[in-house]
Amino acid sequence: MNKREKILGDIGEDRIDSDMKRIFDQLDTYQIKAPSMEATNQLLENLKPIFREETAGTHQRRRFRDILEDTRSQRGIPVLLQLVGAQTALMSKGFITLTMALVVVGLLLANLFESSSSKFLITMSPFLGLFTLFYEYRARLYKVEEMEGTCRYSPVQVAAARLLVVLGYNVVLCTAATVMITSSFALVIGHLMMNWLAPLLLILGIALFTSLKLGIAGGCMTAGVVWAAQITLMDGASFLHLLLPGLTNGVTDAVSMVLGIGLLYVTLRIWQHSERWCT
Amino acid sequence: MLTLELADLSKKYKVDSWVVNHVSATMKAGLFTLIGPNGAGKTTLLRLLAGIVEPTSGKVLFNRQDIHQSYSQYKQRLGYMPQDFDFYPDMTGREFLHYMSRLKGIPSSLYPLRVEEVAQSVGVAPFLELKIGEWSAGRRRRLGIAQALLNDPDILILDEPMAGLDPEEKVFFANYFFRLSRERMVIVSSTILTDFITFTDGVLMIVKGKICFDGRIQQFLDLVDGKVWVAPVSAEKRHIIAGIWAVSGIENLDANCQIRIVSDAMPDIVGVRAAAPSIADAYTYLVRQNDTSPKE
Amino acid sequence: MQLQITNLVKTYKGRVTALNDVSCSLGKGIIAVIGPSAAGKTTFLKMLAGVEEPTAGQIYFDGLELSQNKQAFRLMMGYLPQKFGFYSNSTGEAMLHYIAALKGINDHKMRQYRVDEAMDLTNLKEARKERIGEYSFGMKRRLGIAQALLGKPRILILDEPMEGLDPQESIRLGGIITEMADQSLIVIATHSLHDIEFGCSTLLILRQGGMLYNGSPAELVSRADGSIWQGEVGLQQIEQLKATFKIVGVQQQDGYALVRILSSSKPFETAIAVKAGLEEGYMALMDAAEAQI
Repeated sequence: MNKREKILGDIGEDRIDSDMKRIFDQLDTYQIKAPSMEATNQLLENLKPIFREETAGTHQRRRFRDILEDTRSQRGIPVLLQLVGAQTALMSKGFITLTMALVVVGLLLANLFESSSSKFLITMSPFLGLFTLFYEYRARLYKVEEMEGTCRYSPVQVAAARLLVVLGYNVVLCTAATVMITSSFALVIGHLMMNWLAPLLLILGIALFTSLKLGIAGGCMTAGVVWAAQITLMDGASFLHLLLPGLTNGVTDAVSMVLGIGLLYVTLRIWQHSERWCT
Repeated sequence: MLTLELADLSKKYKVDSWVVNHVSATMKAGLFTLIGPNGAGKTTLLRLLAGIVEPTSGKVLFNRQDIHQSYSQYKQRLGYMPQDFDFYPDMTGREFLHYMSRLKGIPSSLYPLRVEEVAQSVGVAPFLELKIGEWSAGRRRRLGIAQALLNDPDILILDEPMAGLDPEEKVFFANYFFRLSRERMVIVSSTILTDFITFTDGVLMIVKGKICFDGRIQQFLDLVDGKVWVAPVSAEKRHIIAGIWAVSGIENLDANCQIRIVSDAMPDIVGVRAAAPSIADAYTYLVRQNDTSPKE
Repeated sequence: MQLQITNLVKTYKGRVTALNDVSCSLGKGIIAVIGPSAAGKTTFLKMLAGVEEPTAGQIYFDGLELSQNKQAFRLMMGYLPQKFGFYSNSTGEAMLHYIAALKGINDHKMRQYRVDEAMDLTNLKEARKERIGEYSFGMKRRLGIAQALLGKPRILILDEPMEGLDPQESIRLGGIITEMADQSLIVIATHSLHDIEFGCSTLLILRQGGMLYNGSPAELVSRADGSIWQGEVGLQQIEQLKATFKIVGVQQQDGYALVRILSSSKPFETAIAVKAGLEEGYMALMDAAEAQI
């Protein structure tokens, strides 16, 4: 008892309650003999195989590769989602702040100078498209591309995922802006969305497609020229009106959108088959 | 059993310009070093092995299978570090490794610990929270090595991994890659001959797109046995000598300038004597033999 | 020709001390600055080149203080940074003309003379009219050297000039630098001691911002005397040795291996003390420095 108290005192646990004290006192009454030499030796013999396995453990420990293999059976949607998730995590704060600032400031300015903030959105959305172009090429510009190239996903999948993520972000941003201007008319919202989504997709499509041959700067310039021409000559309306007069804005928007998406798709296909590293 | 076979591999970009010219070789588990002058085709060859570039003709066979037949499966067992790379500067080290883990298809239940593990073994763990834009060049290099190891690949292809590392780091990594290569195939390229060369199981030397040596170090050195000469020279004579003979090294440690020459016959320079061959000598000899283009 | 550096300190953003009280006196010839990553080599060179301001300390060249006389310094100095960018569409010659103009060589004839001179020294004369984008890696590096050589500067500052060059190109560059060393003060920062085998008079070893060594290469080598051992071991023994000692070289032969070990005492029975190489001397120094912490 003294010894126990001393030990407990050493670790500062001597203030145990009376119940515990009774239990301990009871336990003290149980006596067992100290183990014999044979018993000790037998124990050691029994433990030896386990110790041996421990030291050999480094060879038998599962390699990470094997652990990873077990998870490989995943296919389909979850795998693609992981890619999209990775690309979302990649979105730089700089890009987000810049684009948000662009939209907000633009809206404020448009409101100040002329009350058609909707027109601003339509005019400005291609800008977003061009930003997206640069964003798409980020991996190349920052020289991360080659490292990304040997990952599980093909470079095209990575590029497509990146594109999707940024486009998705653009859509969300512009929708939010649209809602801010026309908070009442659901119909008008739908119309407005088409109005900026169409030029966004078309300009982006033109920019990416031409960038294949002309480089990033070339793609930007071409898209920029087309957009500027559209603003000045057509006052924002699509060039399709020239080709087929009498079409409503809705139809031209739809056609522009389809054209834009088509160009994006073709660009990705060409990317898939092109030589990305030429020296 | 790991085997990587290069079957008559060729690659050209422009008409009549073969960057890799009918290369054949077989590699097994172990450490292989690819050496050769700049522009000889090392990087292109490694890209072909990694599969990110497709050959104009010939095949790369991993365990007897064409890598392009089931490329995504090959990639799962591959780790690759390119020669020229950088990072998204506003990412922290950890964010980048997490991103790469996801790209490599490592599930989110596994990669946080894996990233810690790899970062520790490569020595970048203390800086993981810092933005990569603030990292020094040597540490970025290590990060490049780290991302290649994330999926615990069976084939590790590293293009000039030692570039930009200081001598201590080089010794560390030489040892590290050697250890890794006991259970995997590790293929590295290097312009600096002294980097791994003592640890390597096999040496592959490429000049002008063709393999001019494939074997062990001792065989490499034997090539120039009896063909290495050392002579004291003065600064003025150096130019003249370099113009006539193949110079494999100049040593000037204690005010005596010694020039190393590789040649079949003893050069007639005052004070010349034979010397035991070194890697640089064999290298210079093979370059001279295979590079018949005029000097730049 | 004397470059006097006194108590140089550089701190970034008030937190990171890149250089801490570095002082030395350098004369004509080749001075090599060696050290591990982030030791402060690039920072040191940047300050010598006047590209960055020291937080404290002075740099004097033949009595002229650097921060007060930046313009004068720039005219007598050539600097090759670690990462040298150029316009790939420009020709080599045009690029050099451009930089020569920036350096203040306004007279066209003089510029042409200097450009020719620089291209001659770096063996780029044949490629002068070619686009830089078409240059090989070695040629691009030499172009960087050429721009540093414009005007035959008295001080040449080269940050990792050999990086990425293959053995032949290295030797060639070593030759060029040695030629310049007769009349100039050349400071070379490098990771690899092998790079300066062609000869340097002074070795500065930096570590974590402080100067660990300032002397001749021969002296560094002699410091490691008695610390480098060489012997034959069985291949299995290598792992055992690695656990206890620092192996600095392994040469695999048939059935056995020749190892070189860095150790203050004999690592195993059959080992014999051998003369240290320059890199081994450096490692011995680093080891000792680390042991002191």
